[in-house]
Amino acid sequence: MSQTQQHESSSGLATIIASSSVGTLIEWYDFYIFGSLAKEISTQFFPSDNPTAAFLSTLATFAAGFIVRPFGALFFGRLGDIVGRKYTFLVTLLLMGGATFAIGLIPGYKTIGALAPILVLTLRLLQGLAIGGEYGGAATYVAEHSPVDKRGFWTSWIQITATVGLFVSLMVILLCRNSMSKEAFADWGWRVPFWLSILMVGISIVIRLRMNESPLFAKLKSEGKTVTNPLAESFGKKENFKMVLLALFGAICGQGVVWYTGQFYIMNFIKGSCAVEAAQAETWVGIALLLATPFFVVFATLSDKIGRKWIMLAGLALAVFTTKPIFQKVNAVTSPKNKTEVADKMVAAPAAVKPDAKNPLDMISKTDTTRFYTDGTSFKTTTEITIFADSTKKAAKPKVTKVVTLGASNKWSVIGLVFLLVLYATMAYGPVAAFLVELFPTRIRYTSMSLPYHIGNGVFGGLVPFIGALLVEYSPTKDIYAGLDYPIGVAALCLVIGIFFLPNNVNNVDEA
Amino acid sequence: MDIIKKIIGVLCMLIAPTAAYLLTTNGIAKIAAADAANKTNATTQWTILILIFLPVMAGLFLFGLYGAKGEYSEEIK
Repeated sequence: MSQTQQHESSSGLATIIASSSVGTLIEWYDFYIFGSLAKEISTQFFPSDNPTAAFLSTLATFAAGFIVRPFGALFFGRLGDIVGRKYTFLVTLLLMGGATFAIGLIPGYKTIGALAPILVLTLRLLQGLAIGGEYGGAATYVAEHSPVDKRGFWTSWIQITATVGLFVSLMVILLCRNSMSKEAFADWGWRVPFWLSILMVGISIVIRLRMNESPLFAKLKSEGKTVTNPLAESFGKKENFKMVLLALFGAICGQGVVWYTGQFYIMNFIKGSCAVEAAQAETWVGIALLLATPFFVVFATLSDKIGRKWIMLAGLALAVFTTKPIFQKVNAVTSPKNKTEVADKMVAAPAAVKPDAKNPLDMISKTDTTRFYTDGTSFKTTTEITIFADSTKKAAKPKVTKVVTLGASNKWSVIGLVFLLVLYATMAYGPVAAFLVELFPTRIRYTSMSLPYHIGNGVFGGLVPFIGALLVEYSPTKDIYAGLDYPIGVAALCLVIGIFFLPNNVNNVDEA
Repeated sequence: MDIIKKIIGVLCMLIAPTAAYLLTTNGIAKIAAADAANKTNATTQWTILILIFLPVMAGLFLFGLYGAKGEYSEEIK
């Protein structure tokens, strides 16, 4: 029986892809709602005036993404190479869904004290562990069902789940926010997206239970060729470990930083450095994400024809050479300095003085000034000055908040620029699942591909916003573009390694 | 091609310890400053960063070593 014949018919394959992708999408949804609801979670569970809670909060944010994800990759990867793909990624789904639902049930810090943040931290770590195991399982499972000449196309449906999962999480949160009062959402409404997860996970588990084991793994198992210690074989044998390192430094770390720059860092930049109103920035970036998402499939399909290497590296090269100019252009488009002010429309509200909530004896004077521009943009500056009751106290530095609401004429310029960044991410990320699958043999595939994937994306990629902010802080002139040196540097190193070291796989895979 | 691979390997062997040194020294300075200011968050963040990046840099060094020794020189299928 030929390899192709062993694989499913197109309709059977579509069912397999749909059920695998939906499960992976739900896992990304679960993982992202925690981040998207960070403010509400922090208020409920991690009061900032309590140092222990603040410590646990940082652990929940950092450890789940950067430490536990790679451990999840190792733990579940090993399980997947011994027990099988189907049951392993069923367990990750169950773990993720259970942890997410449980977070929505935990009483707040005010009710059960320190137990609340400890429970949330534990469940968040379980989420990190589950996401670490899910991706490798889903990608391997789909790839091992796919015809060899269409691996890129079919696995690309797994690739789009991270972006779509992020998008769905934002939409669900937006729907919940808009369907109740601000107070109700802050009080209990934020829990609804967590509860909804159990419904989606339940349906996905029923579907996944009906799926068969991957044909390549089932064949290996029936022949008694599975390994007993995939960790030792993946990382203890030099010929395999060399490929793990090559995957990480020649492709995935660059892809990780490009993906996070195009989907997260640009959002921080537009909202932070450019001071664009949050809702407007989120909507416009969301539109760019939606428009670019189909290209994950386009580039992965193209990689079936011309190989994975050059498409991934083209994405990295474009990102290395044009990311900074794109950010500069975004800043130029959004900056009020480059716009013509309608001087007679400026509104300067008289100062409002009210007692300081923290210290009612002190007063806060607040002044709003709004400027308008010919392209429909408005620029609001709020200045807050604390007037101390104790006149001997040194005057506090005024707190200035700036919000730019861009005119509609800027919309497509900003969306177009963000679209380019996401497009680079689709080139670098679209073919990645097929590329990783083809780099490792079936018997250790789950373990070997999961670790570089999660170090590249979780560690290198996940740290883009943090290291970016740090570089801006370190920059002597507080250069707002200094944060880009990290993703551009990593992508450049990865590009050079990739050009000279990576094989140009086209359906080249060791099935044993 | 093999010569270029070896040069890149040596470069990686240089980059890895340099990055590890810069990260650790900056991290320790940040941790000391955070401790002095009683900022638990910064201490935790930097400790995690250093702990996770040092093994990754060791990996880059090993990759460079394999590259410099010509271990990636044979045709990769």
